[in-house]
Amino acid sequence: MSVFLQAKNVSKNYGRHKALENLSLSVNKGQTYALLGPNGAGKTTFVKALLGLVSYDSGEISINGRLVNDPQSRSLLAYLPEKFQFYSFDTPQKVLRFYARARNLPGTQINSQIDRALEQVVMTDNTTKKLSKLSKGQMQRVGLASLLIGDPGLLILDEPFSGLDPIGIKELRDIIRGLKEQGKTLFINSHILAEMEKICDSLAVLDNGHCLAQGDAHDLLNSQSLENFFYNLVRPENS
Amino acid sequence: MLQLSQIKLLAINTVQKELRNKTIMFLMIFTVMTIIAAFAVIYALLQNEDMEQMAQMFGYGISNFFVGFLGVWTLFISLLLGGHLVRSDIQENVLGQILALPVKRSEYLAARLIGGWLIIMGFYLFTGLLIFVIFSTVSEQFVPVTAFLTSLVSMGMMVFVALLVSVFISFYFPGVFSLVASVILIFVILASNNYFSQRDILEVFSKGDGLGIFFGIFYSLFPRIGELSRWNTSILSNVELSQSHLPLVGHSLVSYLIIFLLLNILFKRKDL
Repeated sequence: MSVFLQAKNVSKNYGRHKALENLSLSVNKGQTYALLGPNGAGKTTFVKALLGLVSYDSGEISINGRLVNDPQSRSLLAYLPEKFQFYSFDTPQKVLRFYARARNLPGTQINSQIDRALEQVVMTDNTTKKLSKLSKGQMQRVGLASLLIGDPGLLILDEPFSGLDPIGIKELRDIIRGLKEQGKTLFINSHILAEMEKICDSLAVLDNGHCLAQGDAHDLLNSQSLENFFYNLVRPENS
Repeated sequence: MLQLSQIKLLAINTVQKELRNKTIMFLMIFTVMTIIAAFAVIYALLQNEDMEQMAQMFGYGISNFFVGFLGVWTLFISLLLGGHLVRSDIQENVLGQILALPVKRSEYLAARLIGGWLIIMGFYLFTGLLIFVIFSTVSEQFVPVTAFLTSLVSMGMMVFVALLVSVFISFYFPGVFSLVASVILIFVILASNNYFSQRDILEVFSKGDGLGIFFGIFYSLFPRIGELSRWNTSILSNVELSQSHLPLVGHSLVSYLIIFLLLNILFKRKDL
């Protein structure tokens, strides 16, 4: 399997606080990779560094061989933040059109891609309603649909299960599985361990900017639950 | 290289976004209503004949007074809008999503400035023409608007300075503080222009005068908004231009470029 996302010795400091320290990881094409860690572990900083939203002090991050400092690297990925937001006056259709144009999609493909994305996230109603009139779950679906526009290879999801009700969690899990079957590479940053255990192939555990463990999920867990594995790693003194 | 398609997309997005900015829209509509009301009051107070007489006495003075006031007010609205262009995207958590797309930060910044400039210039053009139309109607005299249309060049340059300054300051100060700091910076630039209107910059620097050096930095670095304003006034007053304004335009263009590059460097280094 070819490596799609690679980070080598990435470090980032905010003043004296070390947010990331020599973090290295690699994600293969078609994998579902979970980045786990308690609050303040450095997960969001890494995702932001990956997106070019924060600079890192040393090391390098590349996507399909292209350094993330190059804005064109972002044509290979799509990002869903924890709370998807866009201008409240826009409608889902308009938001997706904006994403399609920003991803330089040919005009002839835009409508068909929007329809397909909305169908895939099961949101064919309310597509002409203003975002301000949509529920949180519906907003998150718009965000998910935005991931699919332009058919990017790497999908980055930041805390996608956060704040969803059990039905929303199940629906999202099904959508993620569907994307996985399509061969997408998924990089998911989360602390909802029960869900991540069901969908991830590989994982890394961060704490205080350090990578405590990483690799194939099956090999790492070795028949124990992800929750126990995680707890033993992050709080070894209590285990 | 900047991609024009991305700049166009984001500039249209800026116009759509800022046309829904309640404060800016309120101020723009309020301005138009005030101008209409002011003319209505003048018309009601004076007889129609007096209005014609006044138009003959003052030429285009009355309409130019309104246009002059409109210029200052437009700059104030530019400062307010500039403080909102990027800041609002940061506050509403939209900036991270936009910049996670294949959009360069410089493209985003350029598009926000262009979109903001188009809104302000659209407002200035509409309101200015409205003044001339109302004045022509009430005074029953045709007022040529050539001077006003020519003044769009100098006004456009001043609006761009105001937007650059306020976007720059909005990186560091929120809301009202940003507006106050922008107004102060504009006043310092105007004061530096005034200071050097009768002094030679090289002479001031060679003397080592502290205040002179302070103003000299602003006079050299920023577009000369005071000189642009004088140029604007002379165009509107149909005063024969005694000197070429090419050096002023040249300095402004270089200055825009330097400030934009500086702004872009700061924006690129900003963690979001």
